[in-house]
Amino acid sequence: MNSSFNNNFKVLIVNDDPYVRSFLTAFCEVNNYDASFASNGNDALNLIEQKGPYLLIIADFLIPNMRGIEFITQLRGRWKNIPVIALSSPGEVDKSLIEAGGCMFLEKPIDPYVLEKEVEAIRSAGIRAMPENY
Amino acid sequence: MLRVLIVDDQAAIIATLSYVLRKIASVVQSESLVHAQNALIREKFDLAIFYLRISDSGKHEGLELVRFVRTTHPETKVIIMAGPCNEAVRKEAYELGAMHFYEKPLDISHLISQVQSLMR
Repeated sequence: MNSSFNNNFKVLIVNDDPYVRSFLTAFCEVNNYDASFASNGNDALNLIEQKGPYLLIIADFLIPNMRGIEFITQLRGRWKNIPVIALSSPGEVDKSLIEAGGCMFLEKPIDPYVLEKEVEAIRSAGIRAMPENY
Repeated sequence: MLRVLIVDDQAAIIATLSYVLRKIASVVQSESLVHAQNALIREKFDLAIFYLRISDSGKHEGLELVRFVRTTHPETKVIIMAGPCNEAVRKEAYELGAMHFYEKPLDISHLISQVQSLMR
């Protein structure tokens, strides 16, 4: 794995659960991804505005201040092409809502090997959008 | 490469720790007291990570494993993971020689840094 390339792979993690956040921190560290964090949907949208472009968003469906589907709707209203992996507990959400927002869906508990496969597929596909409307 | 034994009855925790340690350690997994004891008899580990309660017995099997490893390979470093518990248990773990005592939710990044420090 080319770590110098991975270091340019900017990932935004939207989550307020200490354990999941700790896991995703370690996940990004071991894979040399450049991770940023937001605890809620509003902070995430502000971060994308100020620190973007992010090449991937990993977002919990149940985040404070904003339901996951609201976050995705607002996200897609401005940034149509950022890949999103949505995390949720079994039965927590209607998958079709997530998929309608162009998101990938992973159920918790997160299998790190499945997550790695999905992230690497996104990373390998490269940047899919132009900076002005990524 | 470090040899690490992880003992926890939650497969998701074991999978997560195994994944994040895989590049710096060779990991053996166990979900039971007996299986862990057999592993500790068979081979020497640089680090053992024990969950305090491995079953629903109400016992602190993790502490039992610390005592066990002290008789088989006293130089093995030990980390204990636990749910919320009282100070006496934490104190006992340290008295038995545990290097760290983590309460869940586990700070995985900190754990990795501790494992990396063992490599130096």
